[in-house]
Amino acid sequence: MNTTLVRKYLRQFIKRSAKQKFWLDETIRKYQENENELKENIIDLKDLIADMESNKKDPAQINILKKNQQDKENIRNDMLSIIETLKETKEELVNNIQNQLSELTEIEINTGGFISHIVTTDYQTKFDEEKNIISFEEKGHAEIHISTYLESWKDSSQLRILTS
Amino acid sequence: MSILLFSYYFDVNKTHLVNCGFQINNIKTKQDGNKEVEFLAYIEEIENDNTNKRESITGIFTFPSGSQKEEHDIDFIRTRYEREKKWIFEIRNNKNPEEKVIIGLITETANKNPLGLDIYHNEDNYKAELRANNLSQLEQSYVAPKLTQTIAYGNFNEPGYPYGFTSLTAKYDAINKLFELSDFTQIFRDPIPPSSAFRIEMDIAPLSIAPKNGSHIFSLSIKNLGTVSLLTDRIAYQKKNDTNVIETYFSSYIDPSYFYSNGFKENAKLIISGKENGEITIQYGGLTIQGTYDHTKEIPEMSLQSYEDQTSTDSSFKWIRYYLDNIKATYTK
Repeated sequence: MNTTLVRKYLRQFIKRSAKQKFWLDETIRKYQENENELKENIIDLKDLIADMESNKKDPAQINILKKNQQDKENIRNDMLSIIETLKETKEELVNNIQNQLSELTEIEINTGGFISHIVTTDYQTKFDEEKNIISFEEKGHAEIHISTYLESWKDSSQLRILTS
Repeated sequence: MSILLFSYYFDVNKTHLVNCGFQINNIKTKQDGNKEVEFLAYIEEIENDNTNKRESITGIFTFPSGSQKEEHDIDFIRTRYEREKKWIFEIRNNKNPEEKVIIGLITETANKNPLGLDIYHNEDNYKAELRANNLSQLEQSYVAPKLTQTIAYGNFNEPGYPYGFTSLTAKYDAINKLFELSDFTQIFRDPIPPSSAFRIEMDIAPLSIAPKNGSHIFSLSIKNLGTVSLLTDRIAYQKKNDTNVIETYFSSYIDPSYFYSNGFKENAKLIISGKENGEITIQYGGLTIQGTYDHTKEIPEMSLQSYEDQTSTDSSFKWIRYYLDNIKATYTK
């Protein structure tokens, strides 16, 4: 098959998958933040219930709170499930990327001795694929996958600081 | 605060990292219009929030005036060299390639390919572009540079023992930021490998030059290498498994103020430097000894031993005590 086409399609596939993986990371992070908050809420609620019980407060009120606690724990368990599934999806994605990228890297290195990185960025950062330039405005984050049969290699970038 | 961080990660959760960081400390405009960029570069290996290894260096790049826009180009080359277990971080002034710094790590645990690279830019003052982001094979003729690795470091600016350092007798002096002690053991982060140049240094000042018996003040035993001693009138070096002792004498009487008086004197700097071929030089108290050591063995640790002080009695035993500061050990390979 035409090497140019293979390179093009591999690159596109990896770019898409890398983007998915990047935003999956963000999603997992947000779910985990929410789950932590919920966990804290449940602990506070448990403390409150224990306090009310030892002070012999109205049992009807205590039961409402207990139901509340149970609901929250159910939600939390759902969240933990979702997070697990998302993490599994992410691992699969990363494995696919690693496999495809290994192929692409081999072709590129055999052709020209190097591979131009496929870069995923956050909203504040731009990547010009044609010119191979990552532009950082303020704080920014770029993610690059690496998969190569080479055990020794050189990874380089040129920084241009714009102070004006 | 880092302007630019290249963070290689080895696991999906990014708990094992090799970080190559670049931090601009200052940009100065000189009288001739040239711009000077002062920076700090570092490379470190992190596992589960613990920094295993770290090397850093400062540098200054000069950029000529007369560029149309305000552009300062710097090359960042991160090299993995599997055969020598090296990660190498080279930073070069693109406008003047002779200006460059090279640091790196020799590491077993990170001697594998990463899953990927995160690049973080977190500096508000300067916009930045990263160009030509490529991974390439090394030239056939590539020779990895020698790297200096720090295997012990203690400036004692805070109480607490640095990595690998223990003592049974140490007291922290919070005012002078040093330890007063009669013994210590320093285990190196990695042993000094065979046939590698190395350097061990520390500031050490005895508080007494009056041993109860004999003339030894302290002995520093360096495992597999030998022992360096201070005596009342000389310094001595005895190579391991050798009965011969090399000695050099002070030209006049010494007392504690020879080593410490409102701070460490030059005389208190003990430097032991070894060459890969087995030559060794010991400098202390203004004296120098040249000798040899067995460079076929690795050197994993050193320990300091004291001697009974003149003021020691049966009911109140006293070791000679010393001030200790600025321990540093490195090897180059």
